[in-house]
Amino acid sequence: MSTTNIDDIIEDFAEQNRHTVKRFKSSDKAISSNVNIYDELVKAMLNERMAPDLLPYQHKLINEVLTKLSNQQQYLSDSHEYGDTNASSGIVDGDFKLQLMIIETEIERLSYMLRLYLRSRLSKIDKYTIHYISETSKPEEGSQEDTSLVSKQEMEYMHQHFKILTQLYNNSFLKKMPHFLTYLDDTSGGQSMISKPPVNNHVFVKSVSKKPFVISLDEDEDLELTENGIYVVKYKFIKPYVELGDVVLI
Amino acid sequence: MFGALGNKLTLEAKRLTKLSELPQYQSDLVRDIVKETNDLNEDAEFLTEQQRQQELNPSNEEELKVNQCQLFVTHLHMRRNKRCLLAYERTRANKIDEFCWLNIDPIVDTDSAPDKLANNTDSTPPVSEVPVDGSVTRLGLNNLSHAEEEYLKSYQRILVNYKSHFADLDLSGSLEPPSNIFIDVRVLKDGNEVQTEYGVFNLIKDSQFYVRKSDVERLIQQGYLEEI
Repeated sequence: MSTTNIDDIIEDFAEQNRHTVKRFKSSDKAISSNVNIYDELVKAMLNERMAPDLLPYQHKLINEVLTKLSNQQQYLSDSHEYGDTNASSGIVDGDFKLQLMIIETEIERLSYMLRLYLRSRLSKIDKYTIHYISETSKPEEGSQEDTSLVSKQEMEYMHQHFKILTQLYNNSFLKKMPHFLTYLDDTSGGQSMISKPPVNNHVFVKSVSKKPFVISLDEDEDLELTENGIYVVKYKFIKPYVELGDVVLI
Repeated sequence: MFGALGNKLTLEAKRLTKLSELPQYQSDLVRDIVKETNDLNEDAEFLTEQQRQQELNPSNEEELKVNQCQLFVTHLHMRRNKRCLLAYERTRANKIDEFCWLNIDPIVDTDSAPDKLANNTDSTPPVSEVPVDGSVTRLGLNNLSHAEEEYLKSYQRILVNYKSHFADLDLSGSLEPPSNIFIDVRVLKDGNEVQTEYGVFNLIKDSQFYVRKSDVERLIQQGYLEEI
């Protein structure tokens, strides 16, 4: 609810602004195109929050959001300066200040979502480190930068974190243990030590594809998903469709 | 009894997930478990040796079975001990990680004593006001083992490194959705002068300010301010 209201207000301001402060024309464009990325970001963030497994990193989207964000911040500080210097001459009025505040709120909101997106990825990486390390080392080698499962920074984080964790274990007790017990990825003894994401968990999904489509479940069971329908499915069955964008997790 | 120590340690691990502060490292318990595991390993080696001899002259089948069973249980115990140790250390490491994200400096030995005293005399200590939901709010360096201190430092380095890729973003900021850019805050602890884009204010206990949230986020995390 409040989202649309704020967007409306921003639209209004953008409209008014076109006539009054011509100087900042470029920013109007930035605001109106923000709506689209904004939706994309909300979708990516929600998917990531709800999925038990790591989704491919949204390289393009995140880069774009980051650029836009720093542009807006630049614009904001410029405007503050502009407002300060022209406050006495009467060029700027109360609306100008309010407008800046709305932009600032918007920036706060965007960075919050980005934060949530990146942090939930990191928490998943922390939880299933060994699994993702083996996952990313196998087939990803030759694939392209923008389709990989984790970003370069996350990769770095993951490996380094694993390294210091191993060091901690070793220094604390593992080095004093019998040698055959010192492995961290031991799968013998009836129990695998590598914890995997619970892909069998159920998730709520909403279909956003225009055309109805059918997914296959266990034991020859099928499920037809129609637009705007809401379903509860095991994550492993729906995973490819989440990545394609046919469904969103809610 | 074998395994009892490991059980103690897992209970400790379970207890500390609910604490807002990391308790003392159980070095004695860990050492005992490692010792027990090594003892068990010697047992296992002895049993294996015995088994080999029994297989050479299979006179008593009953004894062979007993031996096998004992060997099996010994191995199970060793693995269980290892898992307990790992679980304990991992839980502690997670707490340390969580703390690193908070942006607060850990408490060094000298600080903690007067701090505790102040809390006792004060009826509203900031720490106890935080609801006990299992999230870390403070960390005493003297509660960490040596290896853990090292880990803390390296993890902080990794975080700084990761965050540096997102300069415009305060990644360790609050994970609550923001509602206002300006908020009312009350000062909980005396402190220094704070400078913001909109002016300067002094941290005097019980005073209230209307400030920009992003300016004071860290002070809230450090327990100087409280949002009202």
